[in-house]
Amino acid sequence: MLDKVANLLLNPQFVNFANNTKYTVTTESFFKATGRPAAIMMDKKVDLDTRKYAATKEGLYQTLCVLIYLTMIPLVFQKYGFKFAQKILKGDKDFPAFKDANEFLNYARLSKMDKEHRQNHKLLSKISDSLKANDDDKLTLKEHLLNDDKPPVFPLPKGVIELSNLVGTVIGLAWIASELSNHILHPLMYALGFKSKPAVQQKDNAKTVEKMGNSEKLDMKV
Amino acid sequence: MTTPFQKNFKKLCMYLGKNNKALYGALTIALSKGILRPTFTMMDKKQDKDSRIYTAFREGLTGGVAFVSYLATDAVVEKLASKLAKKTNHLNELPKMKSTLSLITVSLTALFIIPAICNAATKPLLDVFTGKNKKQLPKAGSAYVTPQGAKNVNFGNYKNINVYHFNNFYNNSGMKIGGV
Repeated sequence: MLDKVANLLLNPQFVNFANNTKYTVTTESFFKATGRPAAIMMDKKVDLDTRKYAATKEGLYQTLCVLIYLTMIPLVFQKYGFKFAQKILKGDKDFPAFKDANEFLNYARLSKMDKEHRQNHKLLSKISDSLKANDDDKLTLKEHLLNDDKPPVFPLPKGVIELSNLVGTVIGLAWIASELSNHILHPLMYALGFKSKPAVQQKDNAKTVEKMGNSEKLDMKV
Repeated sequence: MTTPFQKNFKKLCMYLGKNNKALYGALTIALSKGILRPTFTMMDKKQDKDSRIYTAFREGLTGGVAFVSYLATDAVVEKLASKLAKKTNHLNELPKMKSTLSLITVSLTALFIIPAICNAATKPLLDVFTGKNKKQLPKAGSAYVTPQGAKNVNFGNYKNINVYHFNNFYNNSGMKIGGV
């Protein structure tokens, strides 16, 4: 039984899936976007309108979060955060002259692989041939990747990426997604039929008042 | 390195690069979402106040519960994966096992555990914070008026006699009202 569980957990396709950040974030967000609104709708301690509002808001927010995470964070925060750091730390011995954030991320990914696996990997072509850790180093970083069992690691650019991700998470997920969801939420609720439009509500109210007026007139007649 | 900003920036990035714990990310996300999401919800003036308060409170609570659940899940995965790897002789593949097990547990936590805890705790906690659960108990031995306007009093052994009938026909001055 335990062997079956272990085999399932070590299934190569499953391992690849679990090690891909995009897939894991999308999976978790999908569960959040479905599980949380469903749970809110099951919370019978609050009225239906409140539940509909909270559930729609949660589903919308999680959807926006995954879209922002997959697009805005790598394309904006990582890219420009890395460029900003290149300007601030220009010439620093701990910060090699990577072309951009992608080149560093590709290098970091390759450096974690086994030597055999790394030597024929397609990402190797994305590392520039002349890139060196510093001027004193005789070998280029590509040569290190091809020859060394443990190629050099660079905590400073890695920290820049981490900081960019953290800033991106706060600005993108906590701020922009919240602001956007406030703007989209009510039109979405109207479209889903969770809420009637103010004009419709006024008409409904007018009809109710009219009906009440008629019944009062009938009462008076009686 | 010339300015203090450059020095501090390098120091911070070096620290994050060397001590890359997922905990920092989780803590930052929980804290920022826990503060900003409820704030933005309360700013949504198109919705009635009670709905906003419930939603904002639930969002804040979800952030807190998610953070604690994340820590708990991380610890459980660490132990469970190690035990499983030992028993099945897959110690070399422990990191792979951890990553797949982590994905399963985090997904299950997000789908079932966090929503269930929030469902159980949101309304009771919200009532405590807003003071809605304070029961207005009548003072011992005093007469009180029921919603229908009937007055219940104690007359020795005859408890809770409904004096509605008497009140209808006699006012406080003892004068008879009505024709009966």
